[in-house]
Parts: sequence; C-alpha cells; structure tokens
Amino acid sequence: MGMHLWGKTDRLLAAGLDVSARRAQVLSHNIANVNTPGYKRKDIDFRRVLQQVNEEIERGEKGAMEARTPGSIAHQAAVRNDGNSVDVEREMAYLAENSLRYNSMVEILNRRIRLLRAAISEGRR
Amino acid sequence: MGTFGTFGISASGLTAERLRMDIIAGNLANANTTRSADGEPYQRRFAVFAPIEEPGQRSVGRGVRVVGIYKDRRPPKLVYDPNHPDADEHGFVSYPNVEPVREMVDLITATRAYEANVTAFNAAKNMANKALEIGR
Repeated sequence: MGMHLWGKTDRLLAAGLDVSARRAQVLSHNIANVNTPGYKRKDIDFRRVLQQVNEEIERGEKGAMEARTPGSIAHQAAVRNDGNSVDVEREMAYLAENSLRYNSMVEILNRRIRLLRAAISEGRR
Repeated sequence: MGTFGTFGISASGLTAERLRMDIIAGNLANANTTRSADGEPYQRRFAVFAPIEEPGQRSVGRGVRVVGIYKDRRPPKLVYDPNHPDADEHGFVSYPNVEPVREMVDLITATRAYEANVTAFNAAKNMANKALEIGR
C-alpha cells in the first residue's frame, strides 16, 4: 500500500467543486435564457454525478480530478405560454444553494489542508 | 471553462436584455411617429432570442444570443384627423402599431431578467473569490 498525500475525500471534494462550478454555469445559462421562447431548462444532478465519481475512485480510476462534463437534465416542469420552462425563483434558489455548497466544500478542503500542514510541520506552526 | 465561463454566460444575458430595453425605449419614443424614413408610420420592433448551445443533452450551454430584430407586421392604428399632413384621402392618419402598455410590461420583464443575470454573475464572482482561498 502506497502513502498518498491526497486521500479519497480530497479527491471527492475537488470533483465536487468541479461539478458545482459547472452547475453554476448551467444555472446561469438558464437565467440568461429566461426570455427565450421554447427554451427548456437544464440542470446537473449533483448527487448523482458525485456518486459516479465516487464509484470511479473506488475502482481506482484517476479520472475524478480532471474536468468532467456531467450530463444536463432537461426538466419538463411547468411550462409557460411561450414554451419556456425557466422559473426565475427556482433558479435563484438553486444558485444560492449551489454557491453555499461550493463555499462549504472550499471550507472543508481548507481545513484538511491545514491538518496536512500541521502534520508536515510536526505540529509546529 | 469552469467558473470563468459563467461570467460570459451571464454577460450574454445582460447584453441581450439591455438590447431589449433599447428596442422598447425606441418603440415608446416613436409611439406617435407617423412618418419614418420610408414615408410609412413607424412599426413596432422586437428582438428574437435563441440559446447558444451545442446540440445534444450533454451540452452545458453558453448563454443567449439575439438572432435578430424584427418589425411587427400588425396594421397601423387609424385615427381620423383630416388636417394632419400625413392623412390619406379619407382623412385617416396611420399611427404606429405600438401599444405603450405592452411595451411597459415588456420593459419590466427585461429589467427583472437583467437583475436576475446580475445576481447570477455575482454568485459566480463569489464562488471564484472563494476558490482563491483554497490552501490559504
């Protein structure tokens, strides 16, 4: 067994940041198209994509750290008269949720890096 | 593209909505223009939007673009005013097919959509700033 500086959690966190950043992009795309007739909203299922990444890490594949292109889900929810399915309130809620998740993942990653730094300096500051 | 691609997407939304507001302002300013460059009454204009995205379910999308600005083909409003220099032989003046109420409603929609894009932009900015804190 080899010693790894970065564990499974760190790699999952990095992948999570990646997926979260991409989801922000999809949500911004929805908001930019709020007045485009016939546009159908897209989304990324964070939990499902991260689960896939987790399985890849479990299988020992290294693909988790690099940029991935998760599938967009075309929701067919409440459609307006012009065939557009974007609901600004919902997009705003998702955007806030996504930012919060991103920030918390950065926070956790930082704490882990701090632990690593403490271990490297043998507990000295 | 990551976090920085989001800025471009929101910017495209801002540009599109701003253009829509410009067109609405032009419609309102010309609500009573009976003589445009071609001698006809002014015709209401409107912008048509389309998403920028590669075909297929997996594409993330890169924002919105303005496909074109079109003229509203509905007939002009006829007002009886025989003394008007643009009146026809029956004394009717053709006024633009601009409805101020409709324009105002469109203006509010464009304003709100603009603000929504600003919010999305700020969210992306906060995320990018937070990313700078990694390892600090």
